[in-house]
Amino acid sequence: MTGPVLRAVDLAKHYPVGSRWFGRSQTLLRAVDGVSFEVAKGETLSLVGESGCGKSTTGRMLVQLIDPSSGHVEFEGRQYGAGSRRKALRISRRIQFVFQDPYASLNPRMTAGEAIGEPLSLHNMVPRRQRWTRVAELLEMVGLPRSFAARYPHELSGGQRQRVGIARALALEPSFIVCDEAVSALDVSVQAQVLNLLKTLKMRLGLSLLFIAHDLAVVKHISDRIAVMYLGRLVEVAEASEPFANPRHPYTRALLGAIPQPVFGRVRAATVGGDVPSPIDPPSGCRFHTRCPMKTDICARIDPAMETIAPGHVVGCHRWRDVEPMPEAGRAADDVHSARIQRLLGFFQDKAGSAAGQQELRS
Amino acid sequence: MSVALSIRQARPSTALRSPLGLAISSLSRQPVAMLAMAVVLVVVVLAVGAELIAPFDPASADWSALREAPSRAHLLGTDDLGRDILSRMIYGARASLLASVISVSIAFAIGVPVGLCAGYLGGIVDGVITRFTDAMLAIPALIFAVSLAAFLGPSLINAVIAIGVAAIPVFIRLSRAQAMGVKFEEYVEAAYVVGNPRWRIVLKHIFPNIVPALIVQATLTMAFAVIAEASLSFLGVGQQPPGASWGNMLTTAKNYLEEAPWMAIWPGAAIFLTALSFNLLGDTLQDVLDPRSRPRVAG
Repeated sequence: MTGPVLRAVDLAKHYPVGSRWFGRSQTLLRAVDGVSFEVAKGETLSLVGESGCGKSTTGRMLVQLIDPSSGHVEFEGRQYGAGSRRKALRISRRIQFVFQDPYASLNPRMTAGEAIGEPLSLHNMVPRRQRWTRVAELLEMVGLPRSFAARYPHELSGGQRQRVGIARALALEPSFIVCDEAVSALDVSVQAQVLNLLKTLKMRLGLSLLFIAHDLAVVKHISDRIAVMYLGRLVEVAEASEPFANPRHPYTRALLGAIPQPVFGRVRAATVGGDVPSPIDPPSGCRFHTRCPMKTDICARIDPAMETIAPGHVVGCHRWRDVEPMPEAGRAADDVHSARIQRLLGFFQDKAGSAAGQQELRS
Repeated sequence: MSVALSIRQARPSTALRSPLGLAISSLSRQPVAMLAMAVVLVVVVLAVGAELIAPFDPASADWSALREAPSRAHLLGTDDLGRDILSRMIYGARASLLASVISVSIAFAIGVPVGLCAGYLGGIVDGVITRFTDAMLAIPALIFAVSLAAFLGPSLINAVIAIGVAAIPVFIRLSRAQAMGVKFEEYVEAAYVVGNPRWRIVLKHIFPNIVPALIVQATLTMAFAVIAEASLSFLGVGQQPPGASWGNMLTTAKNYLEEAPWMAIWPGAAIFLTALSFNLLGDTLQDVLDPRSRPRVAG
């Protein structure tokens, strides 16, 4: 892999909250509070964390849907960050976004063809006369028959809509796609198809992906690297296999422990209690210390820096050396859980491209 | 039971039809709405074909037939100058409909773009527009229209302009609220990500999705405009004699309520029926086009 195609530098988004009395309000909600990462060409980075931890906000800042409060994004040699949204609309068509809810992300008054054709005409991607040919190509690329161009979103299933959403993102020939919970609104079987589609497209087109998700089974299947986020900060970044086998942050471990596992005879207790603290008034020191089973005095006082503990493995924890590896039994059980999705993936693996679309069409 | 049945029939088709088709098919199952629609259609036909339908010239006086009761010659009687009331009613329908269509168009054409800007852009633009709208809404619309019409000078056109201006704030409010609701929809964000300029997002992605609510409001505002036009003409700042309007027919009729009650009954009934029909139509459209206000069946 060559150098990073995208680099997020110290991205932060703070929202003013509370009553505004003569000027600016003093209280800030720190949705994202200094997040930095890189994504190499052709790589898939997954961003995981509980809801409300700022992973979607981070994704949205990358495509300028949200203007960061500070920090910036470097993408293909261009740089945008705080304040740039107001100055110039959409700096780059080369970075695109796939939305979470396929039922909300397509304009109900536009056909699939219009939705996919719109970016083509906005950016003069193809001559006017070839536009519909290109729309048909894109539909076939995501495994839908070209006749779907005339359909309205309400005439499509969730999986089909998500394919249209992906085709719309691909229309601009991006090098980077942010997938914000792109499969979490879909049925498990359809999830597998869409994941396979994303994987295939990524390979075929040399795309880089930022995959935002909360389902670790999905993440494990698609990612090259995984970044774990907690309360607006990254806590651990590692190669995809690492966090599962060798988590070094107590929070990562807790996340893995939260995967429901079919262990006979007992239900595993949650490893972490309590709720996520409010991002309006985040805890001092390490943000996780209020819920951490391993906290010591230092945790409440000093904010741990991100430490590189192995090539490609970064952790922000004072006590990473003391975190036990995942127990073998737990890992096996985890595999049982993802076995279902793996089986489904295997089933759909050979039915690439349009075949998968046909399958969905029939069901 | 019949409600439950009709909804069960409506459900499967809702997914496949356009809102307009849905509205029409749903209206056809509601007798009251059909009746309202019929009244509106009759008024439209009378207004459009007034020259062909009216049996007499609405302005020609007949001194031998003053204040005659309804008869075979004059189906609805004659007024204090011996003019045929039926003919004047038909031409009055034209004034009424013209006034409401044009004034609603004015209100729509100005209110909707302004409201969309306020709702989509937010910030200072929204603040200024909202304050301005609130200030206008503080004055009752009818009184505002009367004073504006009086200021512009008595004529039907000025009355129409006054009614249109008085109805603007409602459209600003509605389209602002609707735009604010739609602008955080994912498809609007998606439109931004693929590079739509702002004006195109508003025009292509927000506006088409708030049209149903605007249609309902336009229909309800038609009812207001019918009453407003009649009121203005009644007060003498609208349609000027000898031109016919349901409002100015009432003005003269009020002097003869005992000798010739039919002079007041017909135009009064016409105003009442037309306004009621527009209101009923609007309510029904609202139920059909806006799923949130649709009555729920079986808990």
